[in-house]
Amino acid sequence: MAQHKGTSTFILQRATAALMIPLVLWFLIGMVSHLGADFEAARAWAAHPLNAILLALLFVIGAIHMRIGMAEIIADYIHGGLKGVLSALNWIVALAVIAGAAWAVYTISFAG
Amino acid sequence: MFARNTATPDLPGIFMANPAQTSRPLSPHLQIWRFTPSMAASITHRITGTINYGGLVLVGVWLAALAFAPDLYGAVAGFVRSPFGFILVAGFVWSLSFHLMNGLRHLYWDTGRGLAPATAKKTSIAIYIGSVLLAAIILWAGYAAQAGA
Repeated sequence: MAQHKGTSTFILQRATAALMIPLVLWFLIGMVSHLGADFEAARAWAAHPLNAILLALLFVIGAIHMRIGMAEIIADYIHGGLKGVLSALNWIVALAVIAGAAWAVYTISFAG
Repeated sequence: MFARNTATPDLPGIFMANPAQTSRPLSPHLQIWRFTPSMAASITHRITGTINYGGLVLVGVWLAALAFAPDLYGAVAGFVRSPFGFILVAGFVWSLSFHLMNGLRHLYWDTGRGLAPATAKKTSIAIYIGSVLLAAIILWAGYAAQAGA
């Protein structure tokens, strides 16, 4: 964990973990029943306000949680120059997931 | 978390050096552990976490295709319906199920309970079995809902 920020990172990982419990249970059922659906049916599901909000929350909270977990794995197993590269990449992936999902949910809900 | 201690020399292989030459602990590596259900569950938690990382990115691609690229969406949905796609989805559902259940145990551990080795061994085995059951129920319910729709 990051020097001087260990405690806040620890708490953020637990808080996002707790929030992910209901989100993942909802997502698992919703995803499995719509991943292979035809375009119209999948659009209608994702455009429902409740599903749109939960999808956005899932990606935002999930990205925060997965970035912390991956940072821990990188800290444990990767040393030297590669560590900085992977850490930066880890941030970029998490931010891209948040930005991409937010833009997609917005488009499906309001600009489709 | 660890006090700055310039008096402690860095011990290669036990501690890792940082630029200030203070000693900080290094997590023991995978291969030094004796096999127990608890250590297997710990490693599986990291592996499933990594799978979930990739899985969320792929679901993000699915969502982006749904929003911006109907043609690409058709290809993605077709792949999901293929046998290989099903195996991938089933694996992701199990991975999320395991990480969710073991994550619940981690939150319980954070309260200081359930940490005795015998208890941890039992809950580890229960999580392996329970996560397969949860994944099977979710896959069955999800595909039944889709077939009925």
